[in-house]
Amino acid sequence: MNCKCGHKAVYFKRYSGQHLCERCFTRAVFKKFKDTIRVNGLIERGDAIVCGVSGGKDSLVLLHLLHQLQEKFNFNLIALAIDEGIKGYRDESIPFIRKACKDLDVDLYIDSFKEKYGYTLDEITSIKDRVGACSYCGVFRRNLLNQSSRELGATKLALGHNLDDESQVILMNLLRGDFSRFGRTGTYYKNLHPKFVPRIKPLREIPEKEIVLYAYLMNIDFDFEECPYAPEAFRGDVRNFLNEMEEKRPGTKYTLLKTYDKMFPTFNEMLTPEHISTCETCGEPSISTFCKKCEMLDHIKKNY
Amino acid sequence: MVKVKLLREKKEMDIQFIGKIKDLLPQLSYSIETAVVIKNDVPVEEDEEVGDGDELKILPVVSGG
Ligand SMILES: [Zn+2]
Ligand SMILES: [Zn+2]
Repeated sequence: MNCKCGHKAVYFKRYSGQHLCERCFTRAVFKKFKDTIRVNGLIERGDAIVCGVSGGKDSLVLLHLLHQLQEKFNFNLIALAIDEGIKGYRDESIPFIRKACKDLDVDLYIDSFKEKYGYTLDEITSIKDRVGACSYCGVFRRNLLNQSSRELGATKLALGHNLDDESQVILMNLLRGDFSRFGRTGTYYKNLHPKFVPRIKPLREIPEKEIVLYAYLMNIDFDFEECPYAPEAFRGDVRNFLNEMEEKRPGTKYTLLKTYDKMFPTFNEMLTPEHISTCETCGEPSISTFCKKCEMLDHIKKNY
Repeated sequence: MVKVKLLREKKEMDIQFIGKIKDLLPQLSYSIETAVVIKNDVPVEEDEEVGDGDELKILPVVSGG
């Protein structure tokens, strides 16, 4: 099939019925990214944006798009990578990050669990009495991303979550009745604690498949490897279900996200605590006296 | 013969196939949602016909963020 501009199509956008050539496709991705930012007011002139990068396709595509957007209006851009200490995985993805940052001339900072918390993720998971690797990793990474981006002077922290990631999380929370998690991610954020750097997800409306194709067409080298710590089986099931639905009913993922976005203000109002206190150990934002990260670290120290 | 390179599996194989990409993908344990297909170095739509002498690269859609 041909694109409406006459060139051969490289992609069929099934949910809108459009056949797109290389040029029209890459433009459409940039436009979606830009519109998400504009409509939701995610970036303002003069912002200092820290982009979390993992070396995978999503974060490197995000970095490229943000860099491209800098031509349109003025904001600062810095890349931040977190080295969790996963042998044979993270050490191999860091060269991809370095190359992307060098190509774009973006400053890169790398922080590690080991340096900041004293243990690599591999060391943490060697203790006997433990929870899943992804639980430690998620808590530590969230903390470190927030703390480091704040120390870098960030006004926003940009993350590479795509439409597939977002729709999976929404459905997972619904299916397991995790109502308290609703209202946590959305298109806007109430600033509850001065030490929280607001997170933005400019790729949340872009399907994962389009991110892969965009990376290929723009010659963005990324790491194909998946984390050796097996992801939750539940997420895999939800992903497969959404992919099957999307195949039968194009637009399923997007509709799910948009429905959630409509409900979000209500959830957010109902579920967001009035204020968040400060952890007595580390001084970071926390719901209780001690933050989850400090609780976990304490347990690791006792069992290591 | 169609030459197929699976990038995630780091595997290469020759298979007997004439038809549309979307009908080939399930044989490779992929679907139109989980693969980006490059035919002779150009990305193609799922309705693209493939046959003798074509070279396909299968890019996995799922991989680390
Ligand atoms: Zn076109
Ligand atoms: Zn703490």
